[in-house]
Amino acid sequence: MNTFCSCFSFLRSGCRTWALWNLLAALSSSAALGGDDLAVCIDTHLDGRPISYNLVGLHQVYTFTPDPVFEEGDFAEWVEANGFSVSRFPGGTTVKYWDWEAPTGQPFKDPMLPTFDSKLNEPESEWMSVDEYLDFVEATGMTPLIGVNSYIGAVHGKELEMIEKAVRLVRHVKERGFGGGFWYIGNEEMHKHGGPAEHARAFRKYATRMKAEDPNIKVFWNDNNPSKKSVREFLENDGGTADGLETHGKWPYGGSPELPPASYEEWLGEVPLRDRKNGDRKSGGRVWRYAADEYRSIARSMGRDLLVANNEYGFGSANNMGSFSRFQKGLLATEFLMELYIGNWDMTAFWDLALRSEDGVLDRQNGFRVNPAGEGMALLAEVQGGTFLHAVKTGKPSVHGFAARKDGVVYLYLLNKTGDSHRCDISLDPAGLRKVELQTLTEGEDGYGKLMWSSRTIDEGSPAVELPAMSFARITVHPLEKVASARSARTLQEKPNIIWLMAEDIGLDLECYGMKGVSTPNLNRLAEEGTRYTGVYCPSPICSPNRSAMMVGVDRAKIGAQHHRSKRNQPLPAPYKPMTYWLKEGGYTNIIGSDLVMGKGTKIDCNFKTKMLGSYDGVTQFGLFDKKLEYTEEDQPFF
Amino acid sequence: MTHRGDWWPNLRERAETPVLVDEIELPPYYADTPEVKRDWANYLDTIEYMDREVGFLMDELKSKGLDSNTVVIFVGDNGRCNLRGKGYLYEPGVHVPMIV
Repeated sequence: MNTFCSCFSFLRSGCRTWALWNLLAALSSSAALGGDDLAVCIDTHLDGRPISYNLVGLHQVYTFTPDPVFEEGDFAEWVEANGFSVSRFPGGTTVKYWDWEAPTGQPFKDPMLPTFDSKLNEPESEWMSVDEYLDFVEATGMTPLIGVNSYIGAVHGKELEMIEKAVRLVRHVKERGFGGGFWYIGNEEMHKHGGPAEHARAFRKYATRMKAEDPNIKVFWNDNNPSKKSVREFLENDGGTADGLETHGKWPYGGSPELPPASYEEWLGEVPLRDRKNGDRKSGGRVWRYAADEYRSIARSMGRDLLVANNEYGFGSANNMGSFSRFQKGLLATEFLMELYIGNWDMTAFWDLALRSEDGVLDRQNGFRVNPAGEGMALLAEVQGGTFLHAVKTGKPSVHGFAARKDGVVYLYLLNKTGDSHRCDISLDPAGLRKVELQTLTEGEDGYGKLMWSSRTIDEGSPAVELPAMSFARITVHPLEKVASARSARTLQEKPNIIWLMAEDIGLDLECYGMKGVSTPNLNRLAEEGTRYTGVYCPSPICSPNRSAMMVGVDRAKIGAQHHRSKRNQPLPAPYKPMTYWLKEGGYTNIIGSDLVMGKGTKIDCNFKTKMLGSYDGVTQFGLFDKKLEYTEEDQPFF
Repeated sequence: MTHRGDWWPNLRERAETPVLVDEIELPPYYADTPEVKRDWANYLDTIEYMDREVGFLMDELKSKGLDSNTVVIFVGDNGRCNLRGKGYLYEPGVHVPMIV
């Protein structure tokens, strides 16, 4: 545990360039556009269907990502702030030979084999133990998804011993406060058991004992190429213990099936995305958009309701898509996740966090900077738990997306895989006063992602947006009523705006406090025009307890927030509520962060359950702020 | 910004007028060595940069005509990131500036 929270470079402002970018400019500069004009129509009247809360997950693969990435604050903050929801551990092949009570850190190695060499064990700092994992889950508010090996015990004639080991893990996790989480038993082990029926019988032994320990857990089995036959055989033999099916699939394919590599041209034309290796190869392979519903319907025909997950989605080996750039890979990962949204999947976990420089969410070679893939996922994460409306076509197959709704706001996601920019008219029904916000992920000069943002109010007609070449856009449309009610609040109540500027880790070391050698003209002026306080003490010498106390207005121990970066999954005890809740009650719009400062100032860091954006009730809703990084006149009074 | 991180040295290199080591005055409980003085000057560099950011925000308020109906509260989250500061229950760990 570090005390000083040194930061990784991926949150430096240089990583992302934010540009104010006006929708009107796009309308008036159509001469600069190379592509065709496109049009989409969003049907906001549809009832839609729920989008899972667990759809943007990541792998914590302990052998490939060193401890400091998880322990030092910024990665956890980034994950939390962007709503990444599921954390799969230990992930992938490593689970096969993994013993949580005596981890070795050696990937792909079986410690029970006589040939195993314990001298090659990796030091503890190079991998994540269960407790470190749970610390991370706690700090980020993610949902745990933990793996158990069901094969190694059978191989070495130690099945009962391994089942008890799994039960002890369930107990340990429950005692740490994470009862009722997600589990998977067996990772890519079906063929080693001898087929689905045998796999199911082994699975059942583990699941029965684990569920006796914690009846609220949900357990997945793994089948990378589910067919009607394999799903039926499994469900006939698991004794009703499985709650979900997790499959793994990559683009263009995983493993080494001796298929030709994919090219950019192939990707350009491929909508919806396919997995060439699994499913019906004769018709082009498994289609991510349709597969989950197919698996569910097989289970329903047997009277079972299944959760369906792709818990290792991502890219195949680098050779399978060697010509793709970092940014193209980012867009591809984003499109893959988008297909899993459209296809009504219940859970995902991206493979992997940081194995190769360009393929992970983080770039291992460059200070674990966020790759474009991570930025695309973050844009999609916002509509988890919302309502899926419909897939969106534009008239050009390689420009496509989907529409969703959440908290009264309509979301339109559009991917432009082409090398041309396109103007796209958006038809909304009914027309009227709307506030339209556009975030666009494009390739920066350094090959990483560049996120551009703009916002404006549309009085009448349809908004149009520019979709730059090779880009992913999130367009949000806020309804008339919301804008209007904020306006009336302003006219009814003469309340001042409030700006809270919090400087991290500073003492009384400003010029206006008498410090020598430093020049702080702006704060000096603030002190001259206002009040300079000299006896202000914070309740702890570390950030998160203070931020918790500040946000609630009571001593940090009163709300159990005294331990640094803890209890992130526990709601605030009654009757306490965060100050942004009361400010909102009082008509304020709560806005976090500003593009004008480094890192944009969106740190929350409270030791109770929070979400950056959304409503707050302290029971099922934990949002603190209404908006981030963005201000319009209608927001007054704002905090 | 003022949070200790690997951008600190970089910021000092890029600063037009970095804090001069000769002009600083170390708190009496810090060792008076070139390394400590340079680190202290680097810390003050980040404070100067942060002050500039406060300036950007105040300019933004003014340009939007919001400067006369907005309360600005400036506060530190905890003491400076140095010995006896952040992580310690000494005065520099908990005593913070506040300007309203």
